Amino acid sequence: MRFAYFSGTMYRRAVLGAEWPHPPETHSHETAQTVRARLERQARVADAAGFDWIALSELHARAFLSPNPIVMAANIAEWGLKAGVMLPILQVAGRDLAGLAEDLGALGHLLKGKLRFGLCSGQPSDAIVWGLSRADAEERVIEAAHFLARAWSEPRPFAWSGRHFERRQVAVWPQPYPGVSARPFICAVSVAEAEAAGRGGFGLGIEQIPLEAAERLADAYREAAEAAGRRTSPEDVYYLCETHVARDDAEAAAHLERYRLGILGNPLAGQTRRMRALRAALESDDAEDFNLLRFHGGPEAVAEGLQGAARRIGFGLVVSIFQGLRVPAEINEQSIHLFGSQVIPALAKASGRTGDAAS
Amino acid sequence: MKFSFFTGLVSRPRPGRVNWPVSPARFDQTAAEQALERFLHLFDLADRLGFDWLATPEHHALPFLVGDPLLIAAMLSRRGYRARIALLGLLVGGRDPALLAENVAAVDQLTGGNAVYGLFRGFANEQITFDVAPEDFRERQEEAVALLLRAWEEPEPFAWQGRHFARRSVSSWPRPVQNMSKAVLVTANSPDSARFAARRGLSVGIGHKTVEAAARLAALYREEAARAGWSPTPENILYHADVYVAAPGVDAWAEAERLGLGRLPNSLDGETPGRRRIRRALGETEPDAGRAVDRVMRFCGDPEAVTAQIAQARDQIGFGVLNGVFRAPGPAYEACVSSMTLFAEQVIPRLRESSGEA
Repeated sequence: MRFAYFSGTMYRRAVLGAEWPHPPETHSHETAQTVRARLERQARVADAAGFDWIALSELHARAFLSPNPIVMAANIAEWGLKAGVMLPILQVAGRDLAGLAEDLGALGHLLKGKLRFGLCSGQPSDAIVWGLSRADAEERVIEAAHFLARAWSEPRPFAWSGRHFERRQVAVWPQPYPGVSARPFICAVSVAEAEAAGRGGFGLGIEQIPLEAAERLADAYREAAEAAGRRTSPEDVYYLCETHVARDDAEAAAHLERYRLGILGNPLAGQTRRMRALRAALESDDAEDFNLLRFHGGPEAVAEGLQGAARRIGFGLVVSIFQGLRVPAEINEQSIHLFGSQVIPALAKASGRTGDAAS
Repeated sequence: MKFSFFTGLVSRPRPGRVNWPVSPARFDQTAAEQALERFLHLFDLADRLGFDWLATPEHHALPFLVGDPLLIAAMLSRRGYRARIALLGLLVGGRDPALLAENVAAVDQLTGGNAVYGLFRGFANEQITFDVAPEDFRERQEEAVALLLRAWEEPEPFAWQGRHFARRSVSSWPRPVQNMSKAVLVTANSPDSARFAARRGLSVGIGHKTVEAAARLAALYREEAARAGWSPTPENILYHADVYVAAPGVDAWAEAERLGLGRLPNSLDGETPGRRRIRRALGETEPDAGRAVDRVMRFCGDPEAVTAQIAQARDQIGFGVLNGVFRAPGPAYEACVSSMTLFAEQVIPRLRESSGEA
């Protein structure tokens, strides 16, 4: 199993209300500098703790210091980390795909090949940013994955005429760094997306949804891959989830209560026709919000929780969101350190690997 | 007067037919690794030598290892340069301006505001890259510039309904560190674009033009600015030109030609309707004559000769920023290092002295 430390470059929650889009006037350069310094410090803790990647988010019209993670990743290339960079939820909706292929190709070279990436349709608010329907946004993800795979394998310039993207001439420079996969993860929010990922030979990303539904999404992915004659492995599937590790369960419980950790939510909630259809497709009756902070406790409890989820869903990559925006820096850094020093080795041992779990 | 060191992160392709777009099959991993190492070495050196700006362009479907200068700037922002990082330029007519506003602001944060941004249009082939009709490209660039400036300044989310771009909600995060209307420059490579810049009160860049053509464009820019009620200073005008400095006693022109430097055509050459129109507007009836190397290599010679050439061009055009293109394709790398060193050590001080800055 391999691990990514998910670092949102969020500005400062305390000054923002629930409104969206966040008004730019709430931005202050001093706060931005402080937040960025803290993000870097915590990424270094994660690097030292043995995470394989620093993962970055993408969100627009929100209080983020680097809404485009590719720009931030280029900056991280100069940090001198052992860990690589993972971009698990790149949005493709409003992007020029040839430009995206060029940027990812360039980034692979700047990071000396230590790059993984996934494509997604974004949050519902992002569909407003791009002026798209959700259905169109999801279709674009699939088309983008096929485009990238082709752009990085065609030796000669080619034309692309898809349903959502058109280019009369594509010639992507540079070609990818050796070892950087041209087949991205598709962070699926529907059965159709998971099946398309399986058929196309792409990876599958699963974000936050109830375990039963995640299991069905992963099953749909593997069945579609098998039907297309493709083999998959656990490393083809990542699971993005919220975690908090304390020295023991009692301390974690105290943190949960004191800092009100966790956000109530459920990406499958809602009574729109689309969400009902999605729940039906996933055979999930779970429309209730739940605490998205699913894996919390002492190292043993978190390792057990993740191991159980991995058995059900079959993922081999964990993209772990820590609680840096809610708890004091030292508590978050302890959580990252404990994850690296105790949870990762425990999971490696359980999966039959010895030595450095993150190697 | 300010001096900018300009070079691209070009990854030398494998030998093949010279054409555009350059086939990805010609990509060479070994050359790519060498290109990155050399590029960083050149920028580190340029900073140590005292150049004021370190500049790099945006190009597509060409053998660039990193075609997007935003990525380069984000990377370079960690290297602690004294010089400003100059993105010359961003091809705004082909990009989503709302997304670009966010990215530029993020880079401005990462550099602590120590950057300048050229909001340019690019070469003619860029219109094909972005699938934009040539007739629309200027209009798109102008609308994108307007959207960008608004996105960086508006305190509240706003809607944009333009001719080429539409967004029902623009709320650009993060905020840039600088006052961006002072940190950007736009192209003035045609009379229309010079007028646009003057009306908006923006600085300009003029590139790949003869000194005479650039002088006419700069004069037009100043006239239009005066009509709009403001007076540009030399620092509002950047002139972009190839430079090659050789040691005294060396035939620099022959050396430049031997190294394959300066082979881009003059941007006013060619018999397209657009180029004929620009030549007419500038009072030029014929494309430039002369050797290919003359057309893009403006300042070439030993330090004394280059100093004199630049001083004369400065007096004719009235620019305050020279964006010196130092090309460093594979075999020319060592020559580039020597040329930029001679330029920094012997040309810049003389020019500063002659403009009373020493």
